[in-house]
Formats: sequence, structure tokens, C-alpha cells
Amino acid sequence: MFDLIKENFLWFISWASGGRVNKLSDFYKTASGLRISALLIVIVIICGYKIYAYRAAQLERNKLPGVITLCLKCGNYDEREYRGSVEKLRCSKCGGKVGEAWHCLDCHKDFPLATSSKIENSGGKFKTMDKVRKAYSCPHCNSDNTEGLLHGNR
Amino acid sequence: MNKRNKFTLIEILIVIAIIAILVSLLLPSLAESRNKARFVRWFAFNKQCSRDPACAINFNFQEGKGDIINNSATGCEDKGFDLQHYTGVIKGDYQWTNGRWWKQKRALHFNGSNTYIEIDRQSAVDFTGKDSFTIIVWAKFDRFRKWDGLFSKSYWDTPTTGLAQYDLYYDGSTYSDHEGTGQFEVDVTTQCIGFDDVTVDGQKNVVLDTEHWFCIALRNVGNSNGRGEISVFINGDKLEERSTNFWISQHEKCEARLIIGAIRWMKYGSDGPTKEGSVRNHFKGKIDEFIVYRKALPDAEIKGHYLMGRNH
Repeated sequence: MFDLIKENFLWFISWASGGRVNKLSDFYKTASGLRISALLIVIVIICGYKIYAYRAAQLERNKLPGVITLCLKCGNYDEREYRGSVEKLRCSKCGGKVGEAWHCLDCHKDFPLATSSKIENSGGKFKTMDKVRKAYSCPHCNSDNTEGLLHGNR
Repeated sequence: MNKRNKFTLIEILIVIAIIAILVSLLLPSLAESRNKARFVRWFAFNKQCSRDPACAINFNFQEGKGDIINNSATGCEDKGFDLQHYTGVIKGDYQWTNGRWWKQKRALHFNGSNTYIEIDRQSAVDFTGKDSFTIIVWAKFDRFRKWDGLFSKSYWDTPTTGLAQYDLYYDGSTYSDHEGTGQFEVDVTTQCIGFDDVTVDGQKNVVLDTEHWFCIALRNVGNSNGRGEISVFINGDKLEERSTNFWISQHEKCEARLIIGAIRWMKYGSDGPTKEGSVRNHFKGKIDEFIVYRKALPDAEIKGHYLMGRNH
């Protein structure tokens, strides 16, 4: 890798000097060669820093708060960052579908929330409300005393 | 001409490289200074809103840490109003992040599963259809899920048992992380009204997306018969009403606390409905401003809030 860079650099200085400098030692002997080397190092450092700062800012900007998910198939808990629907996520263990992990405050069991994305407005608002209420109810004890699972309760 | 006076190729290349580096250093600082100028302009405007005697809640989210959102509505002249009683308490898992103007503005990131903000005291934000009020929220969506709520002061339930003062939620027919059809629905006491954003003022199209910040406002012009004139605005433009139907009639008894970023449902204990209810339909995304006025702002002022707060 280093040889390749060196070879290319030599080709560049040979081309830039019109063939007057062909060896690295010749290049370093000249005062302008030293100045160019120093400048190139500074340029590379500055460019590297700019790219690093840009990438770090992008990563920070795209950071999302994590949500605890529960696999519908194997019951595996995960903490995931996602945009849009949770339905497009897959379990990291078995590849099955996952839902947001919810917790029943009555029977203290967790369950994956069947989100309301598939619930249509058929039958009017109040029938739809019933469907949504059922979606948030605990599948183990039917209680609607439920809440999204907190990190500390996992 | 003397040969010494000519520039060599390498000298020109170096000069170009140095200029390029200087420009790359300068451009982001120029963009940042524009952002800073917009932020300062918004912040001055926000302070002015705080001094409005009708402003009961002004969360500008500039704390940037902790689980309390300070209310800066120092000018509120509501009887017995105490600023400390109207602070917001963050519930669930949350993350402080950058808001509309990147480094300057702070925002709260709601995870869409259990995050919401609750305001303990209610009297200054208790409204019926007879009262005029305006609620303005700046939000950036990560998800458009049916019935995800931006704010609510209700107990959702059946028509006979549910209680509602006001709430606003997304009711689009699609579910997407890219864009939504953008229907919003609101409940204001006895009325439930849907609003399309596909036509704004019959002219422009507004398509919601996950890339931009949106200024969403709910306004009720109170009426003595208890059914006010309700309007919803996106980015300062009034939306067209989609349909009107009747909701519930027990709004006067609604003692639900105002919450931001979710909808509260009625929860039944062994002795009947409980005060805390169940909080569901969580909003997923960022919010960096929330204002409640105890008056109906004119269209131009709502537009003014958008123009002062937009980040582009």
C-alpha cells in the first residue's frame, strides 16, 4: 500500500517538475520540495479532519432514541433505532417479525404491540377505536392497563 | 519575460488547494451564521410570545437536559396562574437532541413507544367550545402512524363514556416513513373534525415528510352555543375541512391532564374510570416548541409564528 502511494507520489512530482525530479531524495533536497511536503501533510490533515467532523455531525444528526422491541416468534428483546414502521424490522436472533415491547401492569407480562397500521376506518370511528383498544390490550389477561416497556423495566 | 517569473504547475495546484481549503472552512461557518441569525430572531420572538397576557404555556425546549420542561410564559394574566405549576414533566424514555437550527436549538426526541410530556396543573389550559384558544407546535416526524397524537387533553373511549376537551392527531390512511397523505383530525369538545393537507387554501399542496419541520396549529374561536369554529394550520396555511361529525358530550367533566406527544385513553379500575388513564398512540419524532394561547390568534399571527420559526 505504502509502495503504491510512494510510486504515485513520485510520478506526480516527476510530472509536476517536468521530469527534473525523479527520485524522492532529490525532491526532499530542494527547499521547495520540503515546503510542498509540509503543505501536503497539512492539506491531508485538514481534509481528514473536515471529513471526520462532517461524518460525526451526520451520525449525531441521524441518531434516534432507542425503542425496545419484542420478537413475535421467539420473544427476543432488542433495542432498536428506526424510522417509520416497526413492522419492517426483523428479529436479530431468528429473523421473525417484531413489535414494540409493551408491559401489562396487571399480570406483569410483556407483549409485542400489534400496531394500528393495519387498522382501517371501516365501521366508523368508534368501531375503529375498539380495534385500537384491543391492539393495546394485554393478550395474556385482556387488561388494558398497559404501557410501553421502559428501559429500566426490561 | 524572465523565466523565474512564471508559475510552475505545482505552485498553481498548491494555490488552488489552499483556496479550496479556505472556502471549505468558510462555507460551513457562513451557513452556521445564517442559522444563528435565524435562531436569534426566533428566540427574540419567542420571548415576546412569553410576555403575551394570553400565553399560558410556552415550552421552547431550550433546557436541553433533564426531565423537566420549563414554562416561559411569564406574562400570563390568568387568575391564580403560577408559572411553576405549568412545567412539563417528561415521562418514558427520551433523548435530547438538536432542533430546527442544528447547534443552537434544542429539541426533545420522542421514541414513539412510551415518551410523552405531562402538565400537572390544568385550570389555565381548561377549555370548552365556548372558549377561544390556539395551540401551536413545531414537530418533525419520524413516523406517520394512524392516530399518533401530537397533544391531547382527553380520555378517549366510547361516545357515552369518553371525555374530550381538545386533541390533535395524525389520521392519514397510509403508513410510511417517507411521506403521508397528511390528514389531521382534531377533537374539540363535542366536535371531531378531519383536515386534509392535500389542499391548502385550495391552491398549494403540502405533503408531510420525515425530512422537514412542520408548524402545526389548532385554533378554536369560541361560541356561546358551545360549538366553536375550529381550524387547523400547517406552516401557517389553513387546511380544508374534510368532514364533521359529532363526538361526545361530556367534555365539561374532563379532568384529563394535558399531555404532549400521545393520546390519553380512559382506563377502568375496580371503582370505574381512573384519573391517570392509559397513555397510547405515541408520537415518534422531535418537538422543539409548544405554545398555548388563551385566545384565538388571527390567521396572520399564526402565519407569523411559522415565518419566524422556519429553518430555511
